[in-house]
Formats: sequence, C-alpha cells, structure tokens
Amino acid sequence: MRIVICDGHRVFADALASLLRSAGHEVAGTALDLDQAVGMLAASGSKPAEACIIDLRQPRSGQRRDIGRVIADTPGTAFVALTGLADPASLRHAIAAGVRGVALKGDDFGEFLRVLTEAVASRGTAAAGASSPEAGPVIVSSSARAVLKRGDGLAAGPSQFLTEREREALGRLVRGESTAGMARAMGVHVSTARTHIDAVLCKLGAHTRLEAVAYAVREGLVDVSGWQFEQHAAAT
Amino acid sequence: MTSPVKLLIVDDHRVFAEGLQSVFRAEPDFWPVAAVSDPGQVLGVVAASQAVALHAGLRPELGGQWLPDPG
Repeated sequence: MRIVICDGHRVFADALASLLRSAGHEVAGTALDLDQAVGMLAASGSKPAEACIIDLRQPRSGQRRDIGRVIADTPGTAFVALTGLADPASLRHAIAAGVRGVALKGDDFGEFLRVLTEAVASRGTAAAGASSPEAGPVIVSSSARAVLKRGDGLAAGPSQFLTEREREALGRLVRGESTAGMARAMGVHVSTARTHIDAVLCKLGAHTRLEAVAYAVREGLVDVSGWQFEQHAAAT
Repeated sequence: MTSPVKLLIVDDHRVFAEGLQSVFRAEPDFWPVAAVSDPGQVLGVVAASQAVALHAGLRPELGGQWLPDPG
C-alpha cells in the first residue's frame, strides 16, 4: 500500500514510517502539516497514495486548511485519523469530515494496521466519496470506539436516567399541567405524581419545575412543536 | 567494538513506542529490547534486561511520574 503520513511531530512520523515499511508498505512521504500533505498527494501523479494517515492536531496548519475539504478534493485516497486526542468531539469531527478510519496513538500497531487496511478496502467500495450511499462503514479501532461510546453517554445526559413515567410527567410539566391535573390524567394519586416530579427534578439536577421545563425544552426531551401549533391555531 | 546500548522504550502512545523500537532496530549502536506502554512493566524489564529506559513520554495520570522527566 502507498501511504502519505501527515503528523506535526517529526519523530512520530518517522517512527510510524519505519513500522509501515517493516510491514511491507510504501511510505510516499511524511508531511508535517496538511499543506505539505496536499502537495505530496498532488505530486503522486499516476501512482496516487491509497491512504493518508493524519493527526487531528495540526498546529502548523491552524485553521487555514479544512480537513473535510482536503478529503473531498482527494477522492482516490482513504484518510485515516491517528490521533492522541482521545475525546469524542474530536473523533466525531474527523468522521464528519469524511475520514475512512479512526485509531488512537495508544493503540498497538497491529490494531492500527487493521484499521488502515480495512479503511482502504472500505474506501474502495465508495464510488463517489464518503457521503456516497455506496461508502463502506468508517473503520474504528476498539479503543476509539470506546471513546465514542463514552461520548454517546455524555451526549445523552442525565435525561437517559428518566423512567417512562417520569418522562410523561416531565412532558405534562412542559404543558403546564398542575400536580392534581397530572395525577388525574396519569390515573395515579397526587402524592405519586409529586414523587414522579421530584424524581425528574432530582435526576435533571433542576431546583424548580420551571428549571426542569427549561431543560426539557432546551434539550429537546419533549416535543412541544405540535402543542405550540395548536395554541397558535386556537388563537387565530 | 562496543556492545550496543540496550533500550527500553516507554510511551503511553503504543504506536509511537513500537515505531521507535522499529527505528532503533535499524541502528547498529542500539538494541531496543522492548517497547512498553504500561509503566508497571518498566522496572521488571529494566531489571531483567539491564536496559536504559528511554522515557519517551508518559502522562502522569498513567503512573509515569516516578520516572525522571528528561526535560
């Protein structure tokens, strides 16, 4: 496989190049930033690089080059992120930008090589780039997957701990129902409805019902669009 | 002729540690005996191999603070 490495740390890039060569691959060049990498990829000519390994931290490039634009402009090359940034947002950004593989620098070389090889094969099934419906799945190392999974948990936030009844109570709070009205509608005693509300406040970390309602609307936990439409329609 | 320097490469970035090991393998003056990312392995490998630990980098939260920082 013909590969271009793009990493701001020269020693790291050279070390990775040595490993890849010992695994039988051809390293077409080691770039310190995206500008250099783009030049190397363009200079490949009739023998384009099948893969470009990029570090997500590009201190020399700053914001001057958008990774997504570079990937879109180089459809024949599979971009694989190899990063020390073990945070979900950075990995998601890379995937959104169109990388075909994601691995962490903490992975062992065997795992990284698997991601690289499968990412190139996956790119081969993508006729028109990462956004194509024919594009294969993004290949993610096991440790990168764990980071992304952790991010899913964080993204879900405290609302993931609400029970179905508590979600219903929250929805009724958003609609402005009183505790008594809520109890009637839910077919429970007032004290039970109050217990549901207290649980909602506790789990969301809200001090008041208003705070819980604001949180629910802000985070999209309750669909209020239909309710708003009905109120608007009723007023006209 | 002097014997090659035995190296133990320590870095929490596993790919980097293995890559350095590959680089030093090509150098006749060095003998990279191992590349480790687990600081718990360092003392044992050093004791067994009499290698010089090359502290490429360990984050303190991973337990590497007991190794002297090369600066």
